[in-house]
Amino acid sequence: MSTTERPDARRIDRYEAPNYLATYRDRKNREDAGAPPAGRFAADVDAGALETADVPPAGAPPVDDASTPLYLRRFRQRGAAVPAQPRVEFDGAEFTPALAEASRGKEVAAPTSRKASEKIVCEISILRHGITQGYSTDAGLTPMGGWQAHRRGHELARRWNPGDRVRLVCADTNRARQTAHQVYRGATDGMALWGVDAHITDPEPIPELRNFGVWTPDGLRDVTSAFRQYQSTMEKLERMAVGDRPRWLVEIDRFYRTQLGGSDPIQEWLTIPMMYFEPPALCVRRFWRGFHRLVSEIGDDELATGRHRIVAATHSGPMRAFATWAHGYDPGEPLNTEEIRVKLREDRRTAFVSYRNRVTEVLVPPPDEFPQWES
Amino acid sequence: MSDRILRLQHVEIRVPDLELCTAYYTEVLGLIETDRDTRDGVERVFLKCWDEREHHSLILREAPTHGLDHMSFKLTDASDVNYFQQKLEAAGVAVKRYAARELGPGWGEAIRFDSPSGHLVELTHGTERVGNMLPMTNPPPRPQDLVGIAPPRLDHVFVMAEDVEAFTRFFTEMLEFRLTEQILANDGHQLATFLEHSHTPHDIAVITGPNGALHHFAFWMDDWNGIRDAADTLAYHGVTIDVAPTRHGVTRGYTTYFFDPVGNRNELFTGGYWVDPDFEPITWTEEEMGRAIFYYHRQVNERFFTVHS
Repeated sequence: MSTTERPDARRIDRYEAPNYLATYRDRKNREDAGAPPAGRFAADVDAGALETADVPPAGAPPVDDASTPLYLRRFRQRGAAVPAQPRVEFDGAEFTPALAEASRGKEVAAPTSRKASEKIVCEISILRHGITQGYSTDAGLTPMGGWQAHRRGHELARRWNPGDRVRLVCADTNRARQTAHQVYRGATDGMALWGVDAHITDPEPIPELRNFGVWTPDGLRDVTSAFRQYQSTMEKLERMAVGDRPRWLVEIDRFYRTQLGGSDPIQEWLTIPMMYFEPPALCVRRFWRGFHRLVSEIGDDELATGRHRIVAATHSGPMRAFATWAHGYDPGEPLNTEEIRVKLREDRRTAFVSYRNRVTEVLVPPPDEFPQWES
Repeated sequence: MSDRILRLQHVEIRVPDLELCTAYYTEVLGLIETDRDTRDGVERVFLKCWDEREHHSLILREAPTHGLDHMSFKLTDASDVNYFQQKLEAAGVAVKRYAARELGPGWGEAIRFDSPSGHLVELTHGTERVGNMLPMTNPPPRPQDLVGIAPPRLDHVFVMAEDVEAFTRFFTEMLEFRLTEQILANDGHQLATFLEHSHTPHDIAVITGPNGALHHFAFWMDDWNGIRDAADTLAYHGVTIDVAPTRHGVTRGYTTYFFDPVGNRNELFTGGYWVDPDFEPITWTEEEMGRAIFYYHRQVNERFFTVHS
């Protein structure tokens, strides 16, 4: 007899289901999935035998010999039992209970009708990296930053549909690479939890997603590595007490002094014309060139299935330029692992860019019509 | 008096929410689920404490109400089933006899009859043994993967009866229990009695109240620290604690009372004295009833007398 069949008088109102109920259900699911059953008693075992529970369930890897410590055998048995994910079915679609719970009362996707009229062929998620150890060196993420990226991957996986193919790319810096790596791990975990059977590629650095650059005497450099050169050059010049500083140094000095002063250097980069910094517009075009390349690698037939997604881990400056280009105003600096979502429509001429509660329809700059500005 | 009855074998209780109660008894109390069955279209869950070798000591039966279904005492020998059947029938008590496993999985041979208070009492022999999770040779003192409170065994059951004297007479004369303590009213009637067969202060106790009611059933803990730690576990899981850890005057035991999620009272009990067959019953007077029950507080909370299942 199931609980739902009972008359009302017999119902117990579990308005606050106790935690032990969840633990119990979890354990029960595991046991139903073929973990060692509850019968683990050894009334009449031979001398030396430890417990009947040491006999693994059928299909489990062979049990280790008696020289393996008991706790290790137990641990392996637990690992061998894959928990069965009970499924929730609604309206023809299937969810894991975790996904149903997490998305309850939330709109996780646009209604089908709207989606049908706006056929999206590729969804691009541009993510900022997690908390980093600093911007003056290419030091990579703090443990907290790794965790943020992991969580973000977890959340991203929730939106994915079974059969989706996700291309994971990143900028070629330690913090972006590590972010992509953690997003990959989080997404893999998340897909298991949410029961989403999607495919995600290994993270791959691509040049189009790099941070904005600064022209130094050595050529165009990423702003972080330019900073290292700036520092050493400044030091040398101060030691030599020579006169005029080179102009690139003046600009980068102004940029970093803005940051040191607690103001917003990215805003300065977006609004004040700079001679030696890569202009924001070029970053936007570079991003688009990258997305065009990734999309063209998919192939038209594949793309038409609408199952393709791109997750791109990059830096805040170009992202902000991208959002400013799309929205027509500066929506502000993205937080760590914050996301700009680009939904490429079927004709690939328009896209929706959503960032910070604002969705703007943009004309996608065609790859062959870019003016040849870049040096 | 003989020792044909060894101790309390199991109690079967009614629960309106089988899943919730199974979760509570396995995750919070830490009993071990040994079996499930469906009898007369109603699902039952069989549980045991870790140190008990028998198949079950607590049975949860899904029912619209909560309360005691029956209590079962363990007989020493197979011939004791016949002995008690003849004895009870000679005294005019209607006895039903059941073959082994007739009443459920792991069940031994049993007889069932009603006590004067309307409680269904069972005497059983040959409950299937499943072991106590420890090897029989060179065992460690305790299994390593216990969860929750994990009391080692079931201890006693405490019921209510309108006529405590008749109940006590039935249990001492028919079932040969020993009286260890009693609380006497000023008019000389018994308000509560404590009866034993296992050389502990009580295997069953009865107090004035409605016939057929269950006051609580108790699990044994090995020491006071176990009771104290258990209270932490109960509080952690949000279990309603009826009486925080304290001491009884009667039985001298340490105790804490709490409710399972559907309202059956549980107790954790430890301590107390050993009872020899020639033990002389201890008597408490009505004025000292508060001290008899809660020795430190010296008064009984109202809930303790009024709430039962």
